[in-house]
Amino acid sequence: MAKGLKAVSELAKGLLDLFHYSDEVRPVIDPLQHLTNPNIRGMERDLAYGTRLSKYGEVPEVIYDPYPPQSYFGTSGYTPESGLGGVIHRTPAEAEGFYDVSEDFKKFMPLAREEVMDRLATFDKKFSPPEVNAMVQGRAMSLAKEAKYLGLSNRKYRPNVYTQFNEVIPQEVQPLGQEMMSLVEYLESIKK
Amino acid sequence: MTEYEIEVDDMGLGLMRSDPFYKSIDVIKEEATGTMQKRYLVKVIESEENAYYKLQ
Repeated sequence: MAKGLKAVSELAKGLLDLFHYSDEVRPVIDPLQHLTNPNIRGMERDLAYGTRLSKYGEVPEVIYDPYPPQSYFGTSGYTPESGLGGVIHRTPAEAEGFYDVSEDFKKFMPLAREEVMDRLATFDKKFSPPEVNAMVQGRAMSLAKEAKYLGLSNRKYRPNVYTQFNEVIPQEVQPLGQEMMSLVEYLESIKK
Repeated sequence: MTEYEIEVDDMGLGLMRSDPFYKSIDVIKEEATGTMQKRYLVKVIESEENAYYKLQ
């Protein structure tokens, strides 16, 4: 009952209850850790390591790496997929702090495209459309970070998932087989 | 008209869908990654020729 009232109160204040899942308790949820997950590969990993703008062997080597690392969170309506760790971390966050990519009301994608095109035009190298697309997406995301948003949301197409750009200290954690407890309680319990 | 396939994540796909630069975006394959982040293979048609390629 108390938890229900707390949830209603937080909703009224525009606070989201966000949950992060992992295989162990993390006192700090670090976006850089997300990229070390062996399941992250392909496109996401490419985004994280950037694109070489200079020709192979050319000095200095120029790497363009606009993609901001992000950690992922689900709302209470999110159903965790199989393969996600069973340890739950809860953190409140202001709903207004997230940039909705499905609206892109600040037009970060067109701005990013213009900027990326200008940058690429200074290099004597051809880039494939998917390479350009990836750089534009990464830059659009970093524009949201530079505009001081906490992270991204995709309200129209994946409304129960949010990302955050910065390290997050969870308010509560639920280790495997245990009840949800405050992070402080958890840290004290493992000292014993 | 530029047409290609690309892998994107949730937020990248959201950004692309909000951008009129893309004439069409069709999700060919959607897969879980073992994280909360999903991966999508999408077929993209850009609505205008990319100005950069014209310079080549």
